[in-house]
Amino acid sequence: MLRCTKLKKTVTTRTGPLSILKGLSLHIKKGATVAITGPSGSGKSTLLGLLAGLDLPSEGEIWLNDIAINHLNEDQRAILRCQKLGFVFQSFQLLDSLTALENVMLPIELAEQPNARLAATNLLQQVKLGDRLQHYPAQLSGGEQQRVAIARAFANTPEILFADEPTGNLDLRTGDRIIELLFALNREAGTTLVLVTHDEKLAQRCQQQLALDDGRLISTVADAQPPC
Amino acid sequence: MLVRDWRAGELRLLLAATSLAIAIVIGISAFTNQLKTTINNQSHQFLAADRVINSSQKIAGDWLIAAERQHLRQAREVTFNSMLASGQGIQLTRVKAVSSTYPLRGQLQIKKHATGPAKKRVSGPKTGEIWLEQRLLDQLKIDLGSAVEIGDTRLRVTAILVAEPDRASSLISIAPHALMSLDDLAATRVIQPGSRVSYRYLFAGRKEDLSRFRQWLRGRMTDNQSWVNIRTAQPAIATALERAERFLLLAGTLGIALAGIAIAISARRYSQRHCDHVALMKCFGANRRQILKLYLQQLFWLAIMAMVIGSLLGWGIEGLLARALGQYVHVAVTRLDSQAIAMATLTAITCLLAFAFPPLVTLSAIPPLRVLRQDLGNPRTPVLSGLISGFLSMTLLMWFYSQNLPLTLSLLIGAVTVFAIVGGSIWLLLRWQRGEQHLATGRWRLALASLRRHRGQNALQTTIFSLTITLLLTLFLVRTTLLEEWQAQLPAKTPNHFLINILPTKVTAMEQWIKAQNTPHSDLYPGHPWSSDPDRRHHCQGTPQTEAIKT
Repeated sequence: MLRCTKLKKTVTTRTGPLSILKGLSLHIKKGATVAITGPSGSGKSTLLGLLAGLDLPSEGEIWLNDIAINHLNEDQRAILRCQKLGFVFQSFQLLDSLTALENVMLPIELAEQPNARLAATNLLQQVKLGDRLQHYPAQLSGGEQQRVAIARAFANTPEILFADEPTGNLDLRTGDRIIELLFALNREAGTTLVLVTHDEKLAQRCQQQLALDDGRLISTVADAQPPC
Repeated sequence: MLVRDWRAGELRLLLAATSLAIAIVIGISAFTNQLKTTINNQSHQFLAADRVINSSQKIAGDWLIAAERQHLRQAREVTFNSMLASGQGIQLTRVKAVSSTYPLRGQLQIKKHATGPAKKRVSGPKTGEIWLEQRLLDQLKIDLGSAVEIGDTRLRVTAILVAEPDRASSLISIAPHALMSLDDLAATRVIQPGSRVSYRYLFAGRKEDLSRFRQWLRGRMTDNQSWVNIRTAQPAIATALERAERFLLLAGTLGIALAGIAIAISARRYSQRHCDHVALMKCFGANRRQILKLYLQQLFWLAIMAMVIGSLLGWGIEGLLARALGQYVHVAVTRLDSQAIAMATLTAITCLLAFAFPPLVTLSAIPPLRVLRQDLGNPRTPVLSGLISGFLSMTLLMWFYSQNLPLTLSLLIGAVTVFAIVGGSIWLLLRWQRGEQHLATGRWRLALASLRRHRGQNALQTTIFSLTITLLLTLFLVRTTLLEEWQAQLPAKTPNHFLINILPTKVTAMEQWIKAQNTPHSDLYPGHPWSSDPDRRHHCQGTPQTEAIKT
C-alpha cells in the first residue's frame, strides 16, 4: 500500500547541507500497524512528514497505492491528504478558537462532505466525549483533547492514519487509554496505522517496527500476530 | 470561520482599527464639509452678498452691464453720515440708502411695534419710508409713524431697524443707523461734491460667474475701489474658522495614519496567530487557493462590518463635533448619503488591502509540515514591499481625505524622516551591542541576545511605535499652539465690555461708579460727541450693568 525507495532528505543549514534521511526503503501493507522508532534526531518525524505528503524528498520515490506522491504538486498532495490520510499529533493540534465539535467538523467541511455536524457528533460520541461537544480545548484535559484529535483523525474515514508520538504529552495511564482507543478505532475502520514513538511498549503492540538511526533503517521487525 | 474567529475575539482588534479609520474619515470630513458650507453661507450674510465692490464714487455703468452678462444678481448701497431732524431734536446718523433688491444674502430684522418681536424681511424700506434704530427714535424723541427730515425731504418712520446682515462689526457701526430707499436719495440732496460717501455694489451668483466677473474687473478697478469677499470683510472670523478647519483636517489625517498603523499591527498579530490554523487546514487537505479565498472572504465581511460600524461612529463623531462647536457656529449634521458610503467603502478597502491583506496573503504560503515542525517559524511578510504599499496607500487616503496635497506630503515626509532616523538608529544600536554583548552578564546577556536575534522585527516595531507617539505628540502640540495663538490674539486683561457716549459732565461720576464696582477697567477716553441718555448705562440688554460687567 505505502512504499518508499532510496528515500533521501537533505536540508541546507548555515553550516552547510545536513542529511536527515540517507537512502531509506520500506514497504507497509494495507491494514498494518507500523511503529517507527529511534532516538531523537534519527529522522522519524521527517520520514512521517514525507510518507504523509507534507514534505517532498530530496531523492527517492514514495508510492501510495499506485500514486507517486513525490511527483504530485502541493495542491494534488493536499487533495490526497484530504481523501486518504488522517493525523494525530503529539501536541494534539486542536484549534483553540473552535469547540470540540467544530474541531472534528473541520476536515469534513474542508472535504466539502455533507452532514459534517452529525458525523462529528457521532465520532465524538465514539470517543466518549458526547457530552463535551461545545467545550473548547482549554476546557478539556490532555487526554480529552487527544480523544478529540483522534475523532478528528477518523473524520474523513482515512486509509492511513499517521500518529506522531500520540502519547508523548500524556501521563502513563491516560496514554494507555488513548492507545487502546486508537487501536480499537483503527481495528474497526480497517485503517493502516503508522505511528512514530519512543515508547517501546507501544511499538511492540504494532505488527511492524521500523527502527531508525542517523537517517537509516537499522532494523525491521515484523510481528506475525494481529494487532491488539 | 469568520464567526468562529469573531467569537474567539481575534478579529475584534482588526475590526476596531478599521472601523476607527472609517469613522475618522467620515466623521471629520463630513463635519469640515458642513462647517465650510455653514461658514460660506454665514459669511455671505456678513456681506449681504457673495461679493462686493466698495467704491468712494459711483462705478461706471458698463461694470453693472458686465455683471448682468454673467447672470449675477445685483444690489446697491450708498452710505453716508447725515443729520436727521424731528420736531424734538436732531441726531447725526449713519444712513444707508439701499436698492429694492437689497439684501442679496441674509435678512433684515425689523420691529413694527416697540415692544413686539423682531420680524425678518428680505427687502428694505419702500419709497418714502425710513427705518430707524430704537435708540435713534429715543434720541429724536419720536414714535413709529412720525416723519423725520433728511436733507430736503421728509420720510415716514415705518419700522424699527433691529439688524442688517452686512452691518460691520467695527467701531464705526456704533453710530445710530437708518435705512432708506435708494429711490429717495436724490430728493434729499445731501450728496454734494465733496461729501463723504461710500458706494457698495453687491453681487450674488454662481462661483464661476463671480470669478469671470472678477477677471473682467481686473485692470479696471482703481485704488479707491476694492473687491470684497468674506476674507477681506471679516478677516478675524475667516482666519479663526480656517484655522479650526485646518486643525480638524490635520487631526483627521493623523488619525488615519494612526488607524493605518493599528490595522497593520493587528493584522500582523492576527496572521501570526493563524499560522497553526493554516498549517493544520493544509494538513487536512486545504490548498493555497482555498486558504486565500477563506481569508479574502473574511476581509470582505470585515470590511462590510467596519463600514457599517465606522459610518455610524463617524456620524456620531460629526454630531459630537457639531455639538462641541455649537455655541460658536451652528453646523447641521449631514445624512449618511451616497458620498459618505463611497468614502467609507474606499477607506475600508484601501486600509484592508494596504495593511491587512499582505500579512494574510503570506499565511497561504505556510507549509503543512509546520504541524510537525514548529521550528519552521512564521512566514515573513516582505518588509520593503509592505512599507512601499503602505506608504502609497497612506498617501492616497490622506490626499483623498484632506484634498490638500502640501499637507499630505509634508506629513508623509515628516513620517518618513522619523521612520528613517529612528529605524536607522535602532538598527545601528542593535548592531553595535553585538560587539559589546560579551560585557553583559546573566539576564542582560539573554535580553540582548534576544534583541539581536530579532533585530529586524524589533527595529521595525520600535520605529512604528515611535512614529505613533510622534503623531500623537504632533497632534497635541498643534492643538496647544493653536489655542495659544488664539489666546495671544487678545492680550491679557483685554476688556470685554465697553461704555460709550458718556457726557463730559458725567465722566467723574462714572469713574467713581466704576471704581465702586471693583472691576478691572481702563481709563475713559474722549470719543465722538454723540449725545446719549446717561441713565441707559444702568442696563445692558436688559441686564443690570453691574451684573453684565461681572459676567
